[in-house]
Amino acid sequence: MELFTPAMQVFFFAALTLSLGVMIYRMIKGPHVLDRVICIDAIALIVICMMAVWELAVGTPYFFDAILVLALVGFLATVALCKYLERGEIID
Amino acid sequence: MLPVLLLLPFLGAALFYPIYQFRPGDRVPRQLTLITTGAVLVLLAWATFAPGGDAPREFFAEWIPAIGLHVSLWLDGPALFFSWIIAGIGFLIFYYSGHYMDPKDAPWRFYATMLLFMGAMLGVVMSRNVLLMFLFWEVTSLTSFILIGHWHERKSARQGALQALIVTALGGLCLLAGIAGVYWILMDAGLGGPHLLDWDQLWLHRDVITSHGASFVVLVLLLLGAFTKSAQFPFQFWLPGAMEAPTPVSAFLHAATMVKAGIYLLGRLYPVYWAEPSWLLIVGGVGVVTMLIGGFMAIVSTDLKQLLAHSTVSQLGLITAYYGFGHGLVGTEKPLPLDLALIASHALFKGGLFMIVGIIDHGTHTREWPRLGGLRHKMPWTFALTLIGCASMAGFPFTFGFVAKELFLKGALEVSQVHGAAGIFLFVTALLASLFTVAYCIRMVVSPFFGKPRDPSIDAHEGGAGILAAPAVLILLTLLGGLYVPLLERPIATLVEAAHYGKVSGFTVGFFHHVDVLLLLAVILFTGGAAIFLLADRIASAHKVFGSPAPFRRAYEWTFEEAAPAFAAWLCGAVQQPSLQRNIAITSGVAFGLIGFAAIYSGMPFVFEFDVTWLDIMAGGVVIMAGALVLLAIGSKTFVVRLIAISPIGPMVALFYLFYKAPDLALTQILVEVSLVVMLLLLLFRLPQRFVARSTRARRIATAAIAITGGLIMGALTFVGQHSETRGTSIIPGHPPVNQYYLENAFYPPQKFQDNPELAAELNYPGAGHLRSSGGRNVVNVILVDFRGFDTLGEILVLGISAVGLLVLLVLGRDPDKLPDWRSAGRRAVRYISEGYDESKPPAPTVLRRKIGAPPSLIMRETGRFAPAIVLVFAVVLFFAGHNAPGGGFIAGLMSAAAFAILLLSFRKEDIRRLHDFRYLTIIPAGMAVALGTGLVAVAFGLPFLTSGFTYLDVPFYGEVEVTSAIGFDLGVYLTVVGSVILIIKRLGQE
Amino acid sequence: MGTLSALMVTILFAGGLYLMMRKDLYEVLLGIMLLSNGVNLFMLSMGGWSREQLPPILDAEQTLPASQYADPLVQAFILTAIVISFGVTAVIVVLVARSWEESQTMDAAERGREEGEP
Repeated sequence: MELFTPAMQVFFFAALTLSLGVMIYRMIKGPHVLDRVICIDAIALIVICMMAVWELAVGTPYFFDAILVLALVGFLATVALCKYLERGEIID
Repeated sequence: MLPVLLLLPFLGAALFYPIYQFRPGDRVPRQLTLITTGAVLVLLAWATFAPGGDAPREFFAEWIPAIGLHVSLWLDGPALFFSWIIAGIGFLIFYYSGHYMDPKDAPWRFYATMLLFMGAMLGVVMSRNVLLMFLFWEVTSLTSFILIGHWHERKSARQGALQALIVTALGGLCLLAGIAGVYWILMDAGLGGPHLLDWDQLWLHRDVITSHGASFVVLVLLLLGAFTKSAQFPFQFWLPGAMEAPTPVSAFLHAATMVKAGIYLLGRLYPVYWAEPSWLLIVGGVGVVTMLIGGFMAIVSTDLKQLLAHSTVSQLGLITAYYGFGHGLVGTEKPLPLDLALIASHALFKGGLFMIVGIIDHGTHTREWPRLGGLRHKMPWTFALTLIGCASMAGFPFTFGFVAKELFLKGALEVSQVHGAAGIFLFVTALLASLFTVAYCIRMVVSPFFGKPRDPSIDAHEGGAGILAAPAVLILLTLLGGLYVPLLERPIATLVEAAHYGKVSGFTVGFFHHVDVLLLLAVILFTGGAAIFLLADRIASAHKVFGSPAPFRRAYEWTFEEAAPAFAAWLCGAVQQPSLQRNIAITSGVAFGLIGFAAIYSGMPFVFEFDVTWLDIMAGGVVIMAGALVLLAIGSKTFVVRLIAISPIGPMVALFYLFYKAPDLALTQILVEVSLVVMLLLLLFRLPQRFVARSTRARRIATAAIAITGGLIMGALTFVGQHSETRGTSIIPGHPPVNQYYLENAFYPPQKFQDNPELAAELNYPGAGHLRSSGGRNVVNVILVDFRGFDTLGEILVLGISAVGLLVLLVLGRDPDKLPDWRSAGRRAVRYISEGYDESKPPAPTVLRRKIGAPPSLIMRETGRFAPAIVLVFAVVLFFAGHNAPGGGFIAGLMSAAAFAILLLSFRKEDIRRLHDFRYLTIIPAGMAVALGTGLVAVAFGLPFLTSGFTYLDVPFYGEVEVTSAIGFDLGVYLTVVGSVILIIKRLGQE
Repeated sequence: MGTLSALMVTILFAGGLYLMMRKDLYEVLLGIMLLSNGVNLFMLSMGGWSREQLPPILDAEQTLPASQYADPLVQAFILTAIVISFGVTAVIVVLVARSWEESQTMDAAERGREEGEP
């Protein structure tokens, strides 16, 4: 018996796509640049989830490294951006 | 022996530089040329007169079989004959140059180039392989270019050199096309073998070559090569222009040897094409016309050297015409009697006369005969030599020129009998040209040497014995050859007999042994020539009235000095605009236009199959998100928002890589993207916060139109390419595609050997392992470190170079005053790189610290304590897992660099001083050395570079363990990547 | 999936080209990044897509035929391409920084006018 049934796949796919759509709104709208910084962190998380769901759907163990790496170092970009923004108010 | 003979001049030329470094004296070059040429002459003498004729006269070594090019040398009759002329006259010329050239004016490179030319010329005549001959042919063109432009500070010298180069190089291209045509014809007929392009094979297969449909085109191409080299009509104009060269060069290249190369080619082609009617018309016609033009121009020129140049054109036309007439000569089954006599006589008297003009130039400081006169009293020896040389040139009895002229007239006469109207036309024109010859010979003797001195300011003096010796030898030889015909006739005839030209018919030459129509003709020529000489002034003034038409020279100048530069300037101005935007627009427009055209033209099927699954919907969401991000990046005003908009694209592309089942790519992409974002942020610290590009609306729309068109074309191509029928097939029919080979040979589990004993035997299992691959389950990694390891080696080299180059770029030009001095800038860069870590000095504040001021937050510091450790451990795991699972040297290297970046962001620089100040630059060459060393280990075992292998070791209590040599290579990759990336990130963060 | 990757390539190429043709050097830099991603994805999609294919990591017993795996060759090529374009981008980053320091302008067109035009 399959653990990850097609119905579950559809559910996860749909949920993730929807949350990505929400992120698009926040990204375009802003208004503060920090909103966007948080937004890209969230996007990274959604991409991680998508990768994980896709890995389960394919049934291979080899995508796990990529997921782990993105989770481990993905925050670096966010941190670096924050450090840059620390130096002053930037409103676009 | 033959290769030694051929290499000697090149060796001599190569020796100049080191010798000059140790002994910059002026006499060394000349002695070296004489020694080298002397050695060549000794070897030639041995080849010619070796007892029993056992000197090897052939040499063969395979070179590039695919195009029929082999090192195939021989010394048959004509080759031997020409070699003697080249080396013999070369020796005299080098001797003469030592006296003629001012040492200050003739640096060692002059002599080196002369020797180089001599070697190339020997190569032309000694090459049995036609393509090999072509290579040497081109070298003679190049050295001629350098030597004509010897006094390159003169504009006329540069012009003459360029003109000669362009004309002869164009002819060389035609010759190459002709040779390719011959090769193609022979291959087309099913012939093959390493000797296919040898001269004797061409003669053997003359029927195949001449009966082919493209035969005429091939003949014309080959003849264009010969005609340009020998300055035949309509290319005759470059030779007078080449007279800007120093006199020894003119005498050697443009009278005695190089211009004879075209003649030589005609002689070699003659046995193939002599029976073709077009041969007579083209070669004979061109030769006669050239004779006429050259003779006429010689009469009207006032510069003695120009006179000789035009006369050379004329004489070369005479020899060409003689080859053309061969078609009509009775009994010319194969041999063309004594064409070499013509060549020899011309080389002797013309080489000598050129040197004499050089002596006159030295003695009077002018070459304009209208300013000279009465020189016979002041320069008696020169006068005597001129008299004999010109007598020979005019074909006066008792000289070798007479023999030659008689041969020529006999040929012309017979042609007129055999070929009717065309033959009579050729004969009459040839006679007229010979009249001119006699006339300018009289001019050469009478005008400078008789009468009274016309210009009192000229104080003439005779040349010394040294400078007179070389021309004297040549001129006396031509006199002796005429007085005692067998002296020169016999050796030449012997050579001809030895050659593939076959036996010489019973044709005898000599003077006064028969009073017949030929002698009558000679008498007519001399009286007529004298008459023309008397009328010469009128001819010249008439010529001046009409102006100098020189239509072919004009055509050349228009094409190459006006039209071509103008077109190039226009094209560059149109395409290479001084604007980055327009350059990119033009480049991408052309590229995508061509790609789109090719896609449509090849008729790729546009299959539209779109069966929507939930995966597609999710991917579609990602695509829409990417589109929105790109629009945001375009629309926003500040740099940081643009960067924020672009940064998630990387992980999204990585997601697509996973959709395409490429975990290695996804890993690499994520890591690279993170490093890039950090780098771009570090860049932002150096930049202003915003920059508003002022561009008009129309410009934005045009840009968008180009960009969208390009995107759509590439998108369509992506779509179509995936459905292409040829995808997954090999170009070679019946072969599996290479990716399938990789998949099948990347990994050999023990199971595979047990199932297949033959394979096990072939690959020597169990035991020494095998060498077909490095044996890994991750095929991508195996391709990187083994199958295509050389690619990877180049790649890490690029990465290392970019890291070092970037360092230099950061340091260079800081001090504007020192910018032009690149050496000191390089030294400063090196010092900066190597001494930048002086621990005694206080550390330079990093950009991060200076700009932010505050120390990193507590959370960052605490994260920074363990996160890098986790990342590093994971990097090690990925490195070792890489061969059988996603990972490998690249990925592990990028991971380690990411760990460093985390540290850099989490701590102040002082906190991580030792880690920060490590000399990462040293890791890069170390990594390359490791990778190279792994490759070289295979070489030490007698295997090809970068071969890797693996074996199974039986470990107690554990079972079989796979051991591979590729891990060493991967370690090298890891070290290079980690060094480069950390260096880049660290340096960008420093002030 | 083929259609969607084609769309992604379209977006990456169009965005990359547009940014590269702008005056602002920083935008040119971002454009190069986008474009190299587009090229890589384009090459990868030439390997073909099928949902059933496995990543090119062979199983230990090697029981599956080669056609069951995704094309490893394009992946190896792209891996090389990613690293190379990283090195190139790094150099351009420094070029942009130095260009700003030297001339205090980020306008590529302005620089062109200074140096190129007669």
